[in-house]
Amino acid sequence: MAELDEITDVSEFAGPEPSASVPVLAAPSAPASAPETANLARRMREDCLAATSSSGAGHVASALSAVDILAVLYGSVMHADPENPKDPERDRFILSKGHGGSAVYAALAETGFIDRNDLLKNYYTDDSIFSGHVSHAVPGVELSTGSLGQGLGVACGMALAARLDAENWRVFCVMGDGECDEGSVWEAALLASTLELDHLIVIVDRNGMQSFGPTDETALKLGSLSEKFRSFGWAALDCDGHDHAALKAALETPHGGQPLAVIAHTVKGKGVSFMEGDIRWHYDSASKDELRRALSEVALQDGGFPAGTVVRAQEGAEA
Amino acid sequence: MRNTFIQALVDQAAKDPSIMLLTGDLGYRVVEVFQEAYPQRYLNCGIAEQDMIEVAAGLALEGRKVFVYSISSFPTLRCLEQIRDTVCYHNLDVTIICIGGGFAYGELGTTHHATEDIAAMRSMPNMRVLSPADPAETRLVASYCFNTPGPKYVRLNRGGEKDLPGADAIEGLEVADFGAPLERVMRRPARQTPAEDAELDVAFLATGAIAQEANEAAQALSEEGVSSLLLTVPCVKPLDADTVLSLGTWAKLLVSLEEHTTIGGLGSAVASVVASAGITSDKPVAPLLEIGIPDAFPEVVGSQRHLRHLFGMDAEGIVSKVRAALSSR
Repeated sequence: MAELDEITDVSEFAGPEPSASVPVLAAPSAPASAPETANLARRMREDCLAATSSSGAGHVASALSAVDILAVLYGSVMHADPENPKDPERDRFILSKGHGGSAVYAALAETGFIDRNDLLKNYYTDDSIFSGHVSHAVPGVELSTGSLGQGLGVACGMALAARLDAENWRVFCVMGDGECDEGSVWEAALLASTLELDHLIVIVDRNGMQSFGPTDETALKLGSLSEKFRSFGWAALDCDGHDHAALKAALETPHGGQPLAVIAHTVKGKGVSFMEGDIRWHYDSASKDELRRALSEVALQDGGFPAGTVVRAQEGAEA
Repeated sequence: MRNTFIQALVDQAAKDPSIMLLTGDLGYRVVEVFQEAYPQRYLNCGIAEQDMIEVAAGLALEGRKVFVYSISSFPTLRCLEQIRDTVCYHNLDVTIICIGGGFAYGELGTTHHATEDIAAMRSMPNMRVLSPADPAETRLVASYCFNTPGPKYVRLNRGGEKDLPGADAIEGLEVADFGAPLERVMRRPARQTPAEDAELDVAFLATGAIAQEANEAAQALSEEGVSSLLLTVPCVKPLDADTVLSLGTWAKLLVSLEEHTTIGGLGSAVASVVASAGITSDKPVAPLLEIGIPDAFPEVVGSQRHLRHLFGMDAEGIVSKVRAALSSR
């Protein structure tokens, strides 16, 4: 356990500012500014890397591509109160790409829903509630997922319940792009627009990778997901999934009468140079040495990432 | 049976505003009565069973008591993983209503036969499996569903079924009498039971509308001097194992009957009880004759009655199988 403590104590890699001294996240009534969600994202990346490395778990790159989306949701957009995790007025969150579970746990740990040390010591271990795919046994998690194509229909049911009860809370559902191979996604997409579920917001983590490599080359040609959602009757737009200001603006885009799909263009493994875009990190976990290198890169990222680079890169690739 | 259940649902919805009905675009001239009474609580999810189950789960997570309606294998096998991962794992109050249990849609072909559904649903943790034999049991099962949270599977036949003997006694029952666990077998007819110390040749355990065939078989056997008792099993899971075991120590032969594959259904559930009887009971337990669909698809189509006959599951086939089993003892 001493060795594990050494690995999970990320402060030694975190530069002059240890994580304990970062400002406490603002309450939902006073949304965090972009720099604060960048700081949250940095801490979440550290947690994802440490938790997956010490336990030997895979899927770290899937978590890293979704970290900025989750940081903006939990730090700035969603009404989520760690003091009252079952608040009836809370916004609901579903991670439909359940294999990115460590990113949700990290968001919950860094915003005070769960104990961070508990997560780092117990993730993916015997007798733990922290399964590799996100689990509703963990406080703050609405739905266990892991079989792709599962979350959007549940999100539709929740959004319909909100409508029937004349409630104002919203449902946010993060999906993977490879997940959009599943037919059940499009069953749910049809229902959502038919019912005009405007309290439903989907964010697709468009990292362009699935099990064997690039989405559009190794399996099915997904093409433009925003066009597909639009043709299914949704409001849809593309944005840089690592630019917090762009994400926040996209998530707050008015979409009256329609569900909203934000296609967040991301990089699988974002934030760790040797993990970015390398399918190996869908499967492997960082060795102790790789973890040190990864954490030392992430430690410098409190300012977030330059805006617009991801979308431009994707557009270039599709052209 | 389907109209009986839906009418009970309409009646209950007046008292319970959390009730909702979802359909996978099926139930023409059955579900409209609910839709007209409660348009806000009715939703046609389209021909999209996977999504229907997920939507039901989302509504149930937000406090609704959700009933989903479809036919044959569509609300079970088509969306089995959604039932497992979402409804059962999260232990949600979703009741799946299946019309067309067994060969009720016999002429429509194999895609429309619900013949592996009990096995699939029985294997799901948290799932209760209900299979009433007649309209009287259907009303009781509906009442049970209204009062029992968690995932439930209700397997109905179709329409136009007649009550079995003993329906009066069942009509008078409240779910509370049905018990906790509910899950008692029903003695049919309730009044004409042999004394407990009398010799009993055969105890039938039948689930679903095919119990009618066992009722006819019991009458025919009685004319041959074979004494029997018909018990219906409206609740296949959890199974009333104590009663099964006490029947097994009383009758000379246990017979299970279901319009379902013999793999994983009622017969398998009874067989588990009988097989472990040597551990749980010091009395000898009778052998079990399992009557159901063998591990095969029908090679032809036909009416429910005809397909039952082909597989030796009608009254005539049951009598001949029971006769053979008794004579080989």
